[in-house]
Amino acid sequence: MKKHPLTIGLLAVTCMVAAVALAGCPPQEQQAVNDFSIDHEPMPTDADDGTIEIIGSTTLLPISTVWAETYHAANPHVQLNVSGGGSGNGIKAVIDNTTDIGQSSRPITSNEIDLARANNVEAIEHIVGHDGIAPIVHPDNPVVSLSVEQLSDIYAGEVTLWSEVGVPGMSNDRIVVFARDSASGTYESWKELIIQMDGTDKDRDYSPASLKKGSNRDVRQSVADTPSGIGYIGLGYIDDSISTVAVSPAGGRDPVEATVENVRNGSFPASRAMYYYTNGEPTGIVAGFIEWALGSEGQALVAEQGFVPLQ
Amino acid sequence: MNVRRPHLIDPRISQRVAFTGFWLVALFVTLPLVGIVLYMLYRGGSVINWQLLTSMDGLYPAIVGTTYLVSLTALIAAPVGIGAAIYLSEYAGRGKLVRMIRLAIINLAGVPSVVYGLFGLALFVIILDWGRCLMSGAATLALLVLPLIIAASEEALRQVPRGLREGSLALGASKWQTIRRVVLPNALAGMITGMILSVARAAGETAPILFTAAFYSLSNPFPRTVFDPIIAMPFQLYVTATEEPHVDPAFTWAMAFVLVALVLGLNLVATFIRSRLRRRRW
Amino acid sequence: MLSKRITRVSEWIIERFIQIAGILGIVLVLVIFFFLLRNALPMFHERTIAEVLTGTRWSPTHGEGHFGMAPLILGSLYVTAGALALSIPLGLATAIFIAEIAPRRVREILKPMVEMLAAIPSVVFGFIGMTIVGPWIAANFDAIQVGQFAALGSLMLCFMALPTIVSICEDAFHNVPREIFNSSLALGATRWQTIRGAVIPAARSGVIAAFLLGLGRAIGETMTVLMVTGNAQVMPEGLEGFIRPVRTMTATIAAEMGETPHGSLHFHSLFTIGLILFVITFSVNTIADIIIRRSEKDIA
Repeated sequence: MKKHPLTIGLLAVTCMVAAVALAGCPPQEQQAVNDFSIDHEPMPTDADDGTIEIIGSTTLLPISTVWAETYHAANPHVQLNVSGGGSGNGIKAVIDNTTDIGQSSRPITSNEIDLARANNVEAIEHIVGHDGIAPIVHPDNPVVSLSVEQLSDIYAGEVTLWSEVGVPGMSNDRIVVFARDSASGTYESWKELIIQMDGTDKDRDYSPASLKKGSNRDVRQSVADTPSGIGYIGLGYIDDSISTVAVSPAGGRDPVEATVENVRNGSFPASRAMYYYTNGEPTGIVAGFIEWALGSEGQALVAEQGFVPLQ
Repeated sequence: MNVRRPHLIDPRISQRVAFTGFWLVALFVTLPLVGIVLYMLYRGGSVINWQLLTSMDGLYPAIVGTTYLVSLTALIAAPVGIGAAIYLSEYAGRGKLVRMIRLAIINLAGVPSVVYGLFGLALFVIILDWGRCLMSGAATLALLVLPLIIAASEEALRQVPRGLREGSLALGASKWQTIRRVVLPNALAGMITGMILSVARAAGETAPILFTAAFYSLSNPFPRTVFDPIIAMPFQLYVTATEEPHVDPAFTWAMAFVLVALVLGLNLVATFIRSRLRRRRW
Repeated sequence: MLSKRITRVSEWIIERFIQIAGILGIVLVLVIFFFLLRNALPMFHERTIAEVLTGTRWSPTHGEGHFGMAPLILGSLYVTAGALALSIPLGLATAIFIAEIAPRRVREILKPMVEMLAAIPSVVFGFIGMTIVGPWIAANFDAIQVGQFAALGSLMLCFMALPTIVSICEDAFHNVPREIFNSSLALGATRWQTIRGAVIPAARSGVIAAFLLGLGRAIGETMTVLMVTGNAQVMPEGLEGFIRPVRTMTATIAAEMGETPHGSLHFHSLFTIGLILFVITFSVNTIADIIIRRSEKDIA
């Protein structure tokens, strides 16, 4: 066929685009985190046109969703967009100023505070409720309580049999361990509070053999389907398809049940706060929404979703 | 064939056994399709009604979102895909370049959908800074369905008899005039089939919109511009199946059924049109 | 005349557009490849290629991050191998049935039904596998402790790869000249002997191509495996690996990308997985295409 100059030109352009794309890679000496979304101006958020964007932790998803629905019903001029994505991405979005509110089930790290500062963002923390992470097993499993040390061994893969943690007579002795995906706040909280025993053994990590699940519900369903399974879920997700396990805090103390009271008074070892982060003190509709959420009406909804309200 | 070896079993009996096996296989492979549809209806049927499809608490936002998504996808992919098909069928010869184009299209069809998602994230969401929105998702899906559209349109174009083209050219029409007035109208139905199949494919895909378009909950699920986020059916099913804490299982099954019904319905329409077309005599 | 001029200009524009659209396929493949490469390369400023490909620990958020992809690559291979082991015989048998055995009426129902299997969204297959098939298997087979494992992914993928395999095999059988078939029958062979002895061998390269395309399809499938294979990034071992949870490359991208900060090492590592997938599917599809073309040439 006749070779068209256009064809050749187009292919040449492609090659050039490709070359530029490759040249755009950071040279080795540059900082390790090459973030091109930082390169350009922070995207303006939509708060001024009546839309509040909330992104981040899937643990907070049910609360934020019900807050958004209720608040929107009472204040139709305020639109709220809620999405998951994990705590890391929620905080990341605050740092990049691409969201109005970042929801997180873990506090911001010092590294992230530095990143925010470098971006001229001051991340303001709002504690919007509390949550406990309860270990759960199949209803047929006779285990009543486990110590933090035992749970740590199970999740780190040091202990693989139910008989090793004093639970004899299981039809299937091998423990099937369910965990959350690596970017969820619950994954990090559980790792720090339980596997690393409140941060005392920083080298301990999840065993690779643990099955990673995308959500609390996914873990609950999997444990309900697996007689020899163990998992962990937020208090709000507990139902009668599984049974919860009391946890003895490190140092051989009495087991503590995963209940709202024990989470609020801090005696349950796997409890944590839930956070909203904003860029600077919130103003306008965002301030109005957060104030409402922290008030009696918002906190009543927290309790309704099975989490632990502030007071 | 080993004709000389004496047969241990009568060949007719062995044929009967083998053919029975084939019938069973055929039955087995149709099982999942029929089974899945019937089972979903059984589990979700009790909550499937008009209310479910049209209320805000039901599937309405997801249906609207998916409709927007696939329409925009088709709008982006159709001109390019049909253009490419016209090029391949009417303009291109048999050179090395055409060989490379065909290979490229085959490879585009083979790229895993999650890799399209990655590409869409890198290009549309981050570099072009469209964000996670309708436009990014549609552009990503458009890439995914492009090979489908090209293949279907090219087949449609090739089925137009050569004589029609030659007649038109002989009457003094230019090449483009011939294509536009003679070839395209005759290939239109076949091209529409391709479009329907692409829309069906785009409607069912989850992985490409995972990071480029879909949100789980929006106060206003109806996008005002193409740069607004959306709610889409397959993503909604994924989240409802795995994340939503308190949900009636029947609702999830009903959702799955509606998604499958939509996609299979579109496919049935396309298959029907195609079988009518194949029977057409020139 | 002006109007004639406008027609000519617009015709020129349209023909250029068509030409650009034609080339676009090549452009897109290159652009996708380079974008994956661009986002994957920063990974290797911090880690060596060998470390990433052969490392056995995938724990991207622990400490500095561990990015060993061997368990993910092996996980994908296990699920894919299982899927092909199921779908190749099934697909081949279905194709033989459709092409040579089925009465016309049955063929006209069966063919669209098999094609329609491909239309069922993968998230639906995942949903069914996760809520029905997996728990049922775990409840009824003692060896399988948890209803999420590699072979379950294979079983689900088998049906998803089936339409591709059936359609390629069927084309291959159609390309076998009818004279072979007829002369074999004339020599007194039964239809089954003819199919076995003459038709299948003649269509061998088509079957190989079907195998490759099915492989490309299965290795890239995402939502289904994400939902049914358990997502445990262990190295699968021996035959037992099939009934244990694994994690595939595609599931890793889908599960982690949405929650990974853009620009982090973890982000780049997921693009590296995407690049590996792209390279695998590209090679497999290209080889399959060459085989199909060669066999068509042989027959012509």
